[in-house]
Amino acid sequence: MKMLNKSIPTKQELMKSDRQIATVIDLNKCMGCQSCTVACKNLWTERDDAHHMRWMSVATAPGALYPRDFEKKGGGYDKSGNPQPGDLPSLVDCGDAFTFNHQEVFNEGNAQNRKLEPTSALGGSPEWGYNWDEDQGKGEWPNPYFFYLPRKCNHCSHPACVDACSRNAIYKREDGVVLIDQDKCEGHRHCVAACPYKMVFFNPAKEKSEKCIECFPRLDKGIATACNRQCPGRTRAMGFLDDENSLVHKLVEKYKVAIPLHPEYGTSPNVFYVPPMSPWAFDSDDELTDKMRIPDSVLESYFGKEVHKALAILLAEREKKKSGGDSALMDLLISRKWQDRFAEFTNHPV
Amino acid sequence: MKVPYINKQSDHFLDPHNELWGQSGAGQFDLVPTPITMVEHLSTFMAMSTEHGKVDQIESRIAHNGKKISVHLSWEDKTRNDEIRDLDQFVDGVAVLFPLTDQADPMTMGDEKNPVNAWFWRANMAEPFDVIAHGFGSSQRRSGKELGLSVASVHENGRWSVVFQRALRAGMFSDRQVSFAPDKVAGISFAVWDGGNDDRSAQKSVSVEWEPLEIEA
Ligand code: SF4
Ligand code: SF4
Repeated sequence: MKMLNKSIPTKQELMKSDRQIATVIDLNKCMGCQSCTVACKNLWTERDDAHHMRWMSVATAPGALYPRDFEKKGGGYDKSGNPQPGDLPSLVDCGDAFTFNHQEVFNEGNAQNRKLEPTSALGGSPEWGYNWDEDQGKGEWPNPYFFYLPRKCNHCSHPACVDACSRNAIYKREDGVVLIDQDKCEGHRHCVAACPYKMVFFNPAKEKSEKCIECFPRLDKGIATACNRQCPGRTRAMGFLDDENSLVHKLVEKYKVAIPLHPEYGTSPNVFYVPPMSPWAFDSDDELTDKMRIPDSVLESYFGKEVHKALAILLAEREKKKSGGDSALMDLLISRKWQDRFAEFTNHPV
Repeated sequence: MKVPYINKQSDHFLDPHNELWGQSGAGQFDLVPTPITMVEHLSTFMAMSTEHGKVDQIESRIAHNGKKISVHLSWEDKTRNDEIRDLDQFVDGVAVLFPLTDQADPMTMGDEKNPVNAWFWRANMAEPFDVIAHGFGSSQRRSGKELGLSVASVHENGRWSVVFQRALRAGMFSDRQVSFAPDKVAGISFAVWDGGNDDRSAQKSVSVEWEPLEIEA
């Protein structure tokens, strides 16, 4: 055993990084297929002590999202940078971890008289679960609307989780990835309460907190994260924000069409979204209007005021392309070669 | 507080209800919520707590049999929180703290030059931890079992009773484990976590000063 006699690092030291890795997700192309969710689960949380965790998740917005009602659970900072108290999501909030009566229905000859049924990890029939409100959305006929919102840890530039950890177990790597040192974590869950995105998950068997590790063993080999790489919708881009040749830089910094979710939480998140351009709404005479179905106020509630500027740019560029002209931005968003999306992270896994 | 010599086998002491505990005088100690601004440097989020540390008193009896020292603790806690079934649950716990130097401050869990040693029990664990700390946030949990620390606990009538037991003299980690000797004055302080109140980390009840121990020959 080593003598522990080091002086305690400052939060500033723990939050410092040389560069910042970032992800862009184009919500116009996400089809809610959950390939990203499954890719992540297979790689990192397909364990008996982690079935309730989805480090990567896709939920229908507007809705309860994932973890359930995370937007009402506090954490993050107010406008002056003061920390805000937060609540801990329950196992059910985290989507539960159902088991099914497969054996009974499929192997015991009961397929005609027994239904396949889920059982909650807490016992009994489930109260809520992952994707419980899938595709419900909002709005009245003929203008219903929703969009898919894929989420993972934002590897924030001002991570509340790092700030909150009483053990100083959470830190940013040089590339901006935020990690929880599993040897130092004692499971106090101050980080879970503090993360306004509720992207830290408690492992009750280990009594440690866990979160998205940005597939760092892959990054170290120039391989994109599993969620980004497995996306069949080509919604995803990743790279360093300061790399002017990267698609993330172009979409976030140059064209300013990719913006963070809930910037008002004050953590400077590094997952950016190309906001959804929804279909034109019908008026009461069933005539198409020039208003999008997703109300401005709804988009603003997720992405802040910046969403209007981003959408205006996107609509104008789309119009150019539609009328036979050129749009460098639309070409970037189409990205015909997948390699163009991932900067230096284009190596194959294996 | 006096630590009498009681001529009984060690395992008798590990029974919180054993009548021998009637022979050692009980001390009542006031506990206060950790003054949470003291840990603001470790976590501004943790330091927002206003609800922690509701247990305000602990009763302690300490005795030895020449080989082992046993610390009997009991406090009121109406709810028994001894498992983490859901992600938002915390467990009950208790710790006794000992200074390893004359200058160690119990309120800060020592400092870089003045470590403290603690015995730490949590209601969901069969074995206790032996903890070494050089100030808030630096505590290191070590296997109590490997370091010769035993524990027994019962929850009855809305009270926890916990007994820690260890050899009077520290073993191989003697530089970082407290040692007791007859006639030598040592100090002790207490900490209690109420899981039902979401107590954890520095969010706990503490006694503010070292209580001197007089170990009788
Ligand atoms: S999203 Fe939450 S867990 Fe991830 S870095 Fe930000 S504050 Fe930490
Ligand atoms: S894999 Fe891509 S398209 Fe499928 S849900 Fe995830 S982000 Fe959307």
